[in-house]
Amino acid sequence: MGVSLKSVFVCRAVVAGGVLVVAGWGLSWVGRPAGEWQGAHQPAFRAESLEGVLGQGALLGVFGGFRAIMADFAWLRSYVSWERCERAGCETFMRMALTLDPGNAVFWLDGGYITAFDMPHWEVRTREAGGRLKLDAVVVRQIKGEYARRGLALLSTGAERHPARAAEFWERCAMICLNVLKEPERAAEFYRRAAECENPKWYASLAYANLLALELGRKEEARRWLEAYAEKFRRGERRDTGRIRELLDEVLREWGTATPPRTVRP
Amino acid sequence: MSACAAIEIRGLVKDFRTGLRGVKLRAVDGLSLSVPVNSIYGLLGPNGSGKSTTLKILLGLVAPTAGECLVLGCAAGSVAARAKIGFLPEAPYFYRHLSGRELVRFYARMSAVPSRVREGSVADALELTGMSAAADRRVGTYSKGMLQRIGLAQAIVHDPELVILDEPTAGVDPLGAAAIGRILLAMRERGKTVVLCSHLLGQVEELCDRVAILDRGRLVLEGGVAEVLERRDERLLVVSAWSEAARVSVEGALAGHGARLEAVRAPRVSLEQLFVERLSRAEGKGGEVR
Amino acid sequence: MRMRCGCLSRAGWIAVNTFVEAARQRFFAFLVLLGAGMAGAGVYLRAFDFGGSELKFVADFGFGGMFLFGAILAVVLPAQVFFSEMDNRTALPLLARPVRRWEFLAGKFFGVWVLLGVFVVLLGCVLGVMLRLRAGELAVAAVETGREAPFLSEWGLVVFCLLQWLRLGVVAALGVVVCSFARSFLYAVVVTALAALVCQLRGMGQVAFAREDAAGWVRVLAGGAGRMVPDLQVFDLGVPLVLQPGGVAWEVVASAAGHGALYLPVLLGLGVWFFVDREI
Repeated sequence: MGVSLKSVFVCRAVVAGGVLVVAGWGLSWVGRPAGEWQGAHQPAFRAESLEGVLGQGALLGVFGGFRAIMADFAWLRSYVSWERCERAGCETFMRMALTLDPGNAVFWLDGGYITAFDMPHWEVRTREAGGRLKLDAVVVRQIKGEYARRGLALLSTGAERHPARAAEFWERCAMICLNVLKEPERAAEFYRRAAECENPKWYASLAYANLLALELGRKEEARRWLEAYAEKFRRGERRDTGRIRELLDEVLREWGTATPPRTVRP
Repeated sequence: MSACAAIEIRGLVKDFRTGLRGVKLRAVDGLSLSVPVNSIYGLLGPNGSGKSTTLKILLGLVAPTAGECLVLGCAAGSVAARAKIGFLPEAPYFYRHLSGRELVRFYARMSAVPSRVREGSVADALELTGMSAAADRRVGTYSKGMLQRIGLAQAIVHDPELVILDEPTAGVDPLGAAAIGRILLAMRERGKTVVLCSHLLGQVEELCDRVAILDRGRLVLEGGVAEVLERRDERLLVVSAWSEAARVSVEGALAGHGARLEAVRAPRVSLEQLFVERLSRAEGKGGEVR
Repeated sequence: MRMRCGCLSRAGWIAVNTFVEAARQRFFAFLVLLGAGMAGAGVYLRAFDFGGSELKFVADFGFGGMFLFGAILAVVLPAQVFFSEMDNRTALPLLARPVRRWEFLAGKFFGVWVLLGVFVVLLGCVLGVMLRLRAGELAVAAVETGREAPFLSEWGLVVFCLLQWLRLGVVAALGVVVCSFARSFLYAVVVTALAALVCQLRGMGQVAFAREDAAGWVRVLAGGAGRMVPDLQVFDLGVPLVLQPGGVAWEVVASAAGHGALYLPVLLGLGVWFFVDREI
C-alpha cells in the first residue's frame, strides 16, 4: 500500500506513452498518404533559411502553423516598402514571404519583376543621394545587370516550383532580358521555352519568332519553327486555349509574302 | 450484512496522499457503522472529522484505501448502488442557465427516470419542496434557500430508496428549515432512508432516529438519539405549582433514598421552538413556507 | 420504478447541457466575431492587384482565422466546461447518479466538439460568401483582360471545413485527456496548448531530426516521439481543395480524415482511463 504519488504518476505516464506509441504506429498507415502528400507539397524546413527574418514575426508563422497567412502579411508589408521605394525593407519581407510560403506563385512572379525592374532604380537613387551625386552610366548598367540577374534567378526557381505556370515565369524572364539586359537572344530563348509550356500566352510563340526574324536576322529558322509549332495545333497535339492556331496561321500567311510581317511585340 | 441495513460500513480507511512525496493524511480511520433502513440517521462531527469523505466514498466519488462499504446490498460506488441514492451536496451549486424545472428534469434523465413518468416526477418533486412557483425561473436568480430546496428536489426526483443530505438547511431560514424537516419525516413515513449531515444539532436531535459522531476519522459515539442523550442516573421531573415548602419536602424524600436534589430550574423552550410557534401562529395553520 | 440503461442518452444529455453552457459564453461569441472579421478582412485586398491570386490571400485569411481562433476555442473550452463542473461542484450531484465516468467525459467532449462545428460552419459560410463574391468579380475582370478566370470549389470548401472540424476535435480531445488528470484550469490550458503545438509541428520535427545524417538514436527517438502524437498538418489541404482545379486525391482526404477520426477514440479512451479513478 505504500505506493507514492510519484511512482503512480510515473507508471501512468509510461503506460499512456506506450498506448500513444502503439496507437500512433498502428495509425501511421492510415495517415501515410496524407503525410506523404504534405511532404511532397510543403518545402522541407531548414532553420538557416529563416535567418535574418526571424525577428520579423516569422517565428509565429513557423511555430504557430500559420505559414501561409504570415507569408501573406509579409508580402503585404513588402508592398508598403515598395510604395516607399525602400529596397532593404521590400527585399527582406519578400524573402520572408518566399521562405514561409514558396507555394504561392505570385510571390515569385512579382518578386522577380520587382527585383529586376524597380530595385535597380531605388539602388541608383540611394547611391546618387537623392540627386546630389551622379553615377557613371557604366555603374548604373552594372547595377541594373546585377538586379536583373537576381530577378532571373528568382523567376527560374519559381518556374521549377510551379511547373504548371512555367510559361508565365519564362515570359517574364524574356521581358527582363529584352528590356533590362538588352539580350534579345536570351529573350528569344525564354520566349521559346514559354511557348513550349502548357498554357502559353498567345503571343509567346509569335514573340520568339519575331525576335529570331527581326532582331537576330534568322527569319527562315523562325518561319520553320513557327510552322512546326502551328502544325502541332492543327494535329491536336497541343490544346488551343486562346485562338493561338488562328493567329499563327494569320502570321504565317503574312510571312509568305515579300513584305515583312507586322511587328508583334507584347 | 444485516438484512435491515441501508448502509453497512466495515473497517473503512481513507488516506489522502499530499504532495509528490506522498505524505499520508488519514481522513477516515477504521470506521464501522450500520444505517438501518427506513430511518433518519444523523452523521455528526466537527470540521475535518471525515463526514464528507465518508459520504463521498459511499457515493463512489472517492475510492477507499481499505474497508468495505455496502449500500442497499450493492457495493458502494457501483452504478447499481448510485441508482438508488439521492444526494444533496453541501452548499449546492447548479447550472445557472437552466430553470429549476429544467434542472430537475436533467437530473431525472441522468437517473434514468422513464420518460412516461418523468414530467410527473419532476412536478411532484418541485411541489414537495415548495419550488413550483419558482420552477420556471433561471437557477442563477435563486436565493440560497431556494438553491437548497431545488437541490432537495433533484435529490428526490427519481424516488430513491436512500437520500444523503449534506447540510440541507445551511443558510435556510427557520421556517424553511422546518419545512425541510417535515419533508424528511414524510420520506421516512414512505419507507425511505435518510442520512443527514448537519451542524444544526437541534434539528438533528429533532429529526433523527439514530446518530453517529465522528472525530478525526474515528467513530466516537453511535446509537439511538434518545438513548445517547439520556443521562442514565438522572431524571427530570416537571412540577407545577412549585413552592419552597414543596422543595424542602422533596429534598427530604430524596435524602431518604440516598438521592440528592442537585438543582431547581424553570423549564425552557428553545428559541427555535418559540420562533416557529409564534410565526406559525401568525401565518395560520400549517405555516406557509416563503 | 424501472431504470433503463441509457448510456448514450445520458452522455447525449450531458453533451447538450455542455453545448448550451459553452455557447452562452461571451468568449465564444467574441472569437466567432474575430474569426469572421479575419475572414472578411479579405475585402480590403481589392486595393492590391493580385489578379486571380487574390483568392488565395482571401482564403489564407479565412483558413488562418478558422484555425487560430478555432484552436484557441478547442484548447480553452474543454478546460472551461470541465473545471467549471469541478470547481463549482456541479459534478458532485451528477457523478453521484448512475452516470459512468466515461459518459461524463464523452458528454463534455461531444458538447464542445459540436460547438466547434458550429464555429467552423459560421466561419466557413462567411469565407464561402467572400470567396464566391470576389471570384465572380475576378472572373468578369479576367474575361475583359484575357486572363484565366480564377477557380473556386464550394464543395472543396465544405470538405475542408469538415477536415478542420476533425482537426479541432483532435485538439479538443487532447484537452479532455489533459483535463482528466490536471488539477487546475490554467495547467490544463497551458499543457493542451503545448500539446497542440507539438502536434502541429510534428511533421516538421520529424523532417528536422530524422535526417539521414542524424545519429541513429536521434532518428529512432524522433520517429517514436513523432508517432506518439497526431499530425495536425495533414489537415492543411485548404488551398488545393478550394482553389486548385486538380484538387486533392480522395485517398489523401480520406487518409487525413481517417487519421483524425481514429485518434479521437484513442485520446478519449486515455482520458477515461485517467478519469475513472480520479477523486472528485
